[in-house]
Amino acid sequence: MTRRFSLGAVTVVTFLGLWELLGRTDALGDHALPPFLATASALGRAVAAAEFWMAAGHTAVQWALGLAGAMLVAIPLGLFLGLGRLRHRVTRSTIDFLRTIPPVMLLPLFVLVWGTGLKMVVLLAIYAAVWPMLTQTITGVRQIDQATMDTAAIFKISAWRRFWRVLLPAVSPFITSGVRVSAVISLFIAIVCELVAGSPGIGQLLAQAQLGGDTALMWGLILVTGVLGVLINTVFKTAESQLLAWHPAYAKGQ
Amino acid sequence: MTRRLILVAELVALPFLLVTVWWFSSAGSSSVFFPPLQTILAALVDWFPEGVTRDVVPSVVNLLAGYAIAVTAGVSAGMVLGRVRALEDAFSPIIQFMRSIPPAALLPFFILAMGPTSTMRISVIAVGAVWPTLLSTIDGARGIEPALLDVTKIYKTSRLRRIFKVLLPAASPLILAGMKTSLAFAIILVVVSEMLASTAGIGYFIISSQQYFNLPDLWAGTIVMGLLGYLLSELFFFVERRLLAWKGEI
Amino acid sequence: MTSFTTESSIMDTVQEAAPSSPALEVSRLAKSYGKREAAKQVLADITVSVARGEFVCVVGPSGAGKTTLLRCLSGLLEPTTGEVLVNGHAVDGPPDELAVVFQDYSRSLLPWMKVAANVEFPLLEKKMSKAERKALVGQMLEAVGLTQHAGKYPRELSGGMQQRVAIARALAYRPTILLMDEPFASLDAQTRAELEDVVLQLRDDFGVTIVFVTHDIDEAVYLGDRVVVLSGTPATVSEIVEVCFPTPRDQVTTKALPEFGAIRGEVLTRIRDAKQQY
Ligand SMILES: Nc1ncnc2c1ncn2[C@@H]1O[C@H](COP(=O)(O)OP(=O)(O)OP(=O)(O)O)[C@@H](O)[C@H]1O
Ligand SMILES: [Mg+2]
Repeated sequence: MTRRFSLGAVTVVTFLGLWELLGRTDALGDHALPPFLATASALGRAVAAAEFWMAAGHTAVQWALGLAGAMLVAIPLGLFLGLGRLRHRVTRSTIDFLRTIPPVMLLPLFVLVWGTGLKMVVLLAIYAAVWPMLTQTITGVRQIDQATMDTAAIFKISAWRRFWRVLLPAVSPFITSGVRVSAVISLFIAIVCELVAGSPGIGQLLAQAQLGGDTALMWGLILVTGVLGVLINTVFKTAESQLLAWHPAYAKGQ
Repeated sequence: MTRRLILVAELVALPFLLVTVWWFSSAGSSSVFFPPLQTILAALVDWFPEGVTRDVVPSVVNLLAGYAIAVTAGVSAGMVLGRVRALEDAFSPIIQFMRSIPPAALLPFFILAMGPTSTMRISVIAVGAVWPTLLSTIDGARGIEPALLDVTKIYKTSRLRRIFKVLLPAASPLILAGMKTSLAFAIILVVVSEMLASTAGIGYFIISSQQYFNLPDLWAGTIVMGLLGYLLSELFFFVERRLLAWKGEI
Repeated sequence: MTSFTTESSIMDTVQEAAPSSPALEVSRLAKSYGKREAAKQVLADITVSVARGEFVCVVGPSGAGKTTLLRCLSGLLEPTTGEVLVNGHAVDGPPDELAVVFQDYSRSLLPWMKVAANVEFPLLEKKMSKAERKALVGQMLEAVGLTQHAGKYPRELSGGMQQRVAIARALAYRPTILLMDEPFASLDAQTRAELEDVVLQLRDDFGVTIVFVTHDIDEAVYLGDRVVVLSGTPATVSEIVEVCFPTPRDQVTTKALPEFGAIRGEVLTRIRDAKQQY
């Protein structure tokens, strides 16, 4: 653990040093890569301004609404489709098709129809984030042992309790892993919308920094998106292992 | 025979129904945003022969070039990091951070450094799409059955054969899983990079149709893009099934 | 059952060695797992010598350290102290002329290669033409009765069949020393008897030296020239029992010999004594 930590720290420091060096010598030309310290101070200045926090707030809200909306659609729909043999088989090809098509292609169309505001970003994020959770939920329901459900039925366990006590626990590991993927996708899409369509958020600041040639700020904001990504990953990983502590796959601390 | 028919019917029924509903509900539509499907298809037919070489080919070429670099780099680095504990410990924090950056966020930098060129697109794909393959390969390499390594030691397996006949196949299920996500990243990146800075490619076609308010072309381009994404992922699935035939489950 | 009298001499690959030196010599070998405080000694002061062409069986309770000993002999594991000589040369790393049939056979096969390719795998490193390789693979698969399954993946075979693939692979390598770790543990009695005879035949045809770990005392007594009883924590050689039946051995007549029962009884007693001691 400590060795792991110190090795990691050494590389991070080396990496930042290398960055500083490349930046100082302007190795990539055009100041495309400013020194790390310049980046850090640009970021420091940005963070002091309200504008940054507004943008971060926009990104966070768009991400959260996209993910929440996708959960509201995908989980019930996944349970519904997974529970019926025919429903599942008839919708399979359509879902497989829709989930493989790249969601960003819809962006120009969405912008025309809904503008560049929050609503458009959230709708696109929902559309993109639905698929991992939907397919995972369906897989989760399909893999439940028929015998488990039959046993529950034979013992005359009420449908309500069967849902909460048998179905949901069995599917939950699948749902949570789908949610974790969707959370990341929702952030990706929010950033793309802000970057391409100029929807408010960190991505928009990023595009402005690029256009204004403020490369130090640009890199600072790239780091911010990375921090957001790390936060989301960590929070969802932790939440997942907490929620599923009862589950055999997690019992031994993975 | 009838089983086959039922299976095919199950597969095509809903798509057919959806397209039919789209066709009839949009017929005679006067909304600018939702032109009749007939008009969209007409635009598609107009676009068709030259459109493929003009819009699809450049996108696909850049996509495949960047993807090839990302996969090669991700698999080779991942195999090394997965087998050498100290290296993995050392690089893990940086990798975890880099893979958390939404890949599109790197675009402004690449556009600034390289301009709206093919090199820019290939580079951004190479850098942005490498992480899923890298991380998954590390997991795969770490989990290689030690008994197999003993076998290669006892039988004096040459280095190349050990890599290509033992280590890579052993890690291949996870490598391919990572490559699948990398492919999705690569597609997103090529489209977004074309939307942001380009004069060619399917992303450019879509965004310029949008700017000229040419809705039938916009719809047609979106459909082409969707089909392209679908085809690529089916192709991937086909190759994956071949490569993992020995597992006998997918 | 096929015999192994075709093909060029396996002695081609054997290193120069003093003709008088034993095939395997283990002197004062000890092995601990883990470091410093966490160290756990598994083997202590093992000294055994195995003559060329000799068949030595190793028995001992589960967890005694039989696999550990075999891994030290094969050069996969470095002894903590002591030394292993193969054909008079100190072992560091697996020697060329040695093959191993691992205990967890199902994990030691390459699941992405079909049966024939698995058997052929070690031969790829040898200077052999493709035709020679194919012929040898065919011969070995026939010896273990898997000719019809050559084109299948390991997962399509039963545990016993997978084990036979692992054996065929080791035999095809044409080692002068063969280490086998409970190779027949999961086989049915019939196949087991057949394979026991295949291994004996191999020894007779090529003078292969065999160290054979087993839980089954009948098997040890039937196959071995000597039976080494390993016991205690850390394990030591608690007894070496000489087995002096006439060769060739036969599943029916050898096992019916009065001496068979006697030796079997002796080995059992030794194991029980050893257990009580600790
Ligand atoms: N890599 C290892 N690290 C630490 N301890 C180990 C390791 N391998 C084996 N051991 C321990 O060493 C002891 C001997 O193990 P070994 O596998 O050699 O026994 P064995 O006689 O082959 O048993 P079995 O008959 O069950 O195969 C056991 O207590 C085991 O827990
Ligand atoms: Mg063992």
